[in-house]
Amino acid sequence: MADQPHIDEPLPEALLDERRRVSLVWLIPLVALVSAIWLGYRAYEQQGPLVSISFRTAEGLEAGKTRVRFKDVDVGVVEAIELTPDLGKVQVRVRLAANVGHFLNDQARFWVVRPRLSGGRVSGLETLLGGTYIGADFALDGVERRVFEGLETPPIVTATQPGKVFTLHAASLGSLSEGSPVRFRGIEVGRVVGYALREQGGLDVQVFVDAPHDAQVGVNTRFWNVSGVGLTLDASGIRLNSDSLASILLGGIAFGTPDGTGPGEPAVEGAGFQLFASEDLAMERRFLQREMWQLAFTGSVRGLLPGAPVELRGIRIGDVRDVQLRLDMNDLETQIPVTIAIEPGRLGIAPAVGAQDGAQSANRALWDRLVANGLRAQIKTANLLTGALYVDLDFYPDDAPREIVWDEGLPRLPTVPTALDELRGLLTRLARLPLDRMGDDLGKSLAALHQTMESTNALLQRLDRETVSELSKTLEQTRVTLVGLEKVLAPNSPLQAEASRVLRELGAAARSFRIMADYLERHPEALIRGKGANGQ
Amino acid sequence: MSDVTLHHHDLVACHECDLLQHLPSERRGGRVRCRRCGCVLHHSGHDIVAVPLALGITALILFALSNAFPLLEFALQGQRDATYLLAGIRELYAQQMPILASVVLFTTVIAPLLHIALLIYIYLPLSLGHRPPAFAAAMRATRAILPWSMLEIFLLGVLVAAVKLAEQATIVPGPAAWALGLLVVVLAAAASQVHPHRLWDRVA
Amino acid sequence: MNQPGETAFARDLIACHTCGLVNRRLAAGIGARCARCGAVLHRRIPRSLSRSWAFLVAAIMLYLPANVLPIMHVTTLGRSRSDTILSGAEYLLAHGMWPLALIVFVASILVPLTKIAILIYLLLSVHLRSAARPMDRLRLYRFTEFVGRWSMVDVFVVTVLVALVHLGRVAEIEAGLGALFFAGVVVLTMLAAKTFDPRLIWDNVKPDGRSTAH
Repeated sequence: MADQPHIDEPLPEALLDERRRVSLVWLIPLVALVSAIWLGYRAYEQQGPLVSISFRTAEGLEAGKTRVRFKDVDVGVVEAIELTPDLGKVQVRVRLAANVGHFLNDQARFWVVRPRLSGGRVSGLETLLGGTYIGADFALDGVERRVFEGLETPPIVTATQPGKVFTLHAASLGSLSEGSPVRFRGIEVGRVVGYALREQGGLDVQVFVDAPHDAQVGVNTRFWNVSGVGLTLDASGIRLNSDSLASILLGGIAFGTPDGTGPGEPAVEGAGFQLFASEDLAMERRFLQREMWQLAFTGSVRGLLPGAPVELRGIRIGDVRDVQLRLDMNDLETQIPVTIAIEPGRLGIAPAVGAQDGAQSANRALWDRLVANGLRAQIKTANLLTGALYVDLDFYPDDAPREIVWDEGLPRLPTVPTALDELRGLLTRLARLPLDRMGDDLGKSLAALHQTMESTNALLQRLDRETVSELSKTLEQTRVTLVGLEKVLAPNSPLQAEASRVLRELGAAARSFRIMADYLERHPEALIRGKGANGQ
Repeated sequence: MSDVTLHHHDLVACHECDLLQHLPSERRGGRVRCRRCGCVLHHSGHDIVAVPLALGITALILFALSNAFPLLEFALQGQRDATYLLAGIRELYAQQMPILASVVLFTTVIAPLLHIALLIYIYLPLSLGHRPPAFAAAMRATRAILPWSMLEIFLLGVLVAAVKLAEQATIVPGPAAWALGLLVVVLAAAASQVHPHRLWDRVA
Repeated sequence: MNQPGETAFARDLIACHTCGLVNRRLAAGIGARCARCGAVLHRRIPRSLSRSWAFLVAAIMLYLPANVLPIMHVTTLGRSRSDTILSGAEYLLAHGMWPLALIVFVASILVPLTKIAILIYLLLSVHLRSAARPMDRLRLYRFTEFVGRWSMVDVFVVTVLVALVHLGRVAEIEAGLGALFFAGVVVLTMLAAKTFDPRLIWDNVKPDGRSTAH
């Protein structure tokens, strides 16, 4: 090429750098890769455990959409919904957030939040708009788990809610249900969280009282059922007694303390109380705590029924719980252990804190001293007509010293025999009197008496014989005297005529005298001057 | 393509010391350095392969991210919901719109993925020094697929949707949104780095 | 623009679409392959006009339902609202989001309309062998090709909303038939633009300015 002569000259050739230097452009995918790995790692790290929850139905649940919420915070999402192999339930697999992974223990609960009416309030309304979600409740401690049984209804109390659970012993549930309100002075402070039949009969109702109102529940607190309407007809008229309308419809429990007493020591978590059927019943019984005692009687207790009062000097302090018959197989002696419940509060003995109702007495020393001073139990007749009996406690200082038997089941108070027993004792003594000999003596005495009577009789006859003749002579003379006297007093007798003339004369004289007296009265001066001296 | 021009192309003057020199005849891979001062004269043929390949691999990673992570997180009245790229397509399909779903699927998933795959398919063997099989078909497919890859438009759609909802709900862009934004940039860069004519010159 | 020169067509040369190699046209013309890459060579896109017309007519037919039918149904708290392409833009405007409203308006209403209009004009001008202002027409074509894809934005908005707003009874968004037709319009106009061979614009322009027939 003529126009480019210099090209023909030998030119140096540029160096070829054979080292495969990594181009800077590779930083871009590197950065992308690193950030992808970081994102992936973070997602993996944040990915919590997979748990499976079984529900009765998957209504409203949607894989990939339905959220799991704890205190309204998203903590997971439903990943899959499948049926259990036996088609009985729906198995929901849920991917939870990593931060709740530590709380997956047997205390964790899951339930489906749907709109529902319970415990007097509507809940889950937000799901009408926002769709169903799974509610979760976690507690701090428990045994780790990954498989859960979903609740069909939302739990009434969450594990972290402050407050206390109490157990109420009731005879029947009435119209209570889970979620029924618990009120204190009309304020709703808690809810019924569950109930279960008790093996010993009756049932336990679990109530939850929110903090800070749980402090209002003390050892003296009474719980009563406010379900329904109380209609009382008495001397004061008709009284309609009811709580709120919601309580009427849904039942409810109220608590309070009897007038004049405070709640007392705060009740501990899980403490047991009795659930009374009404407020009146609850307040009537002032002393809730009872101690169980046993009394061993030997005689008949016919007429002593459970519920009979136990009195101390006429004041009721408890009642009879149970009357049994126990046959001693060795000597075939019968014993009648009578179980009584004493309310020590009525004796002014402060209840021991936390003591269970119906437990043995905690005040051993006190009772020992009482018995040492002569405290005994006795069965007495309360009503002669019905034969109803009651147990009377009293002090018999003269009774032989005895002690409480503490160690055989229920403590046993010493007893003294019943009044009937005493009468029987008397009769036994009577039977032991020497009646035959006493009869002989009596016969002799009677014979002697007979002799005495006879001699008396003889005496009287002699008296008769010797005095009667003399007496008749005297009477004859008296009769003669009387006849003479009769003659004198006859109407035509001279004496009689003479007497009547005398009497006439005497009358005239009396009349004259009276005239004179009148005159003298009017003219006293006549005594001195004479009649008519100064004219009338 | 006369000898003259070829000859001129063979010459280079160092821009730091002005030494005129021949380019080495065989220059696959590596850099050409000035014989005198050692400065890099020419990125040789390596970079026209390396840059698109690097971008293609970046795009693949970003594409994976944008599909694996939530695109938008959405909170309304305490409810949270995260949307994935594929969720909308699935939802359209569920709403008896299979054709529309396929159109969206093709333009936002299949076409970009094919584009990225083709980039890597073409450039990975080239960077290793050999011509990929069916190179021409791959080149043609790349050209054909390019207008149907509408990730940048999809991104605009995400933005419009987010702004539309922002008044009523809280919208938080998820990791996939950022990945998608970067992916759009990277794909645009990769497309601008593809020079079919120079490639053909190389492989011919 | 009418600089002197010859087209490859006039020189019986064909540039490969795939690799850009300029091949010498073989006698048969049909079934010829590129010497370098083996791609099928053709001087102009085969049956470009008729295929382009077909796509365009289909797009025009879909255009009406695309604008009349709702593209999505929004159910909020039990109340249902249907959005068409136009009402969607109106909604944005009414809520003061005018930049977005502008984007949606341009992408969803202006672009498809102008695109259809431009394509009709281009196709007609080729049919009428117009030689007028080829450069302007080419610019219109380039505009169409570039901007056409962006009409898809409304379809994607619907897709994202449908996926996102999934709150049961609070709010639920369902895609409407309008979205399907609209996507059809976009795809078909894109296809129409793709099949239209811009070289046809220049074929009626002789390098020396005279009109020619092929």
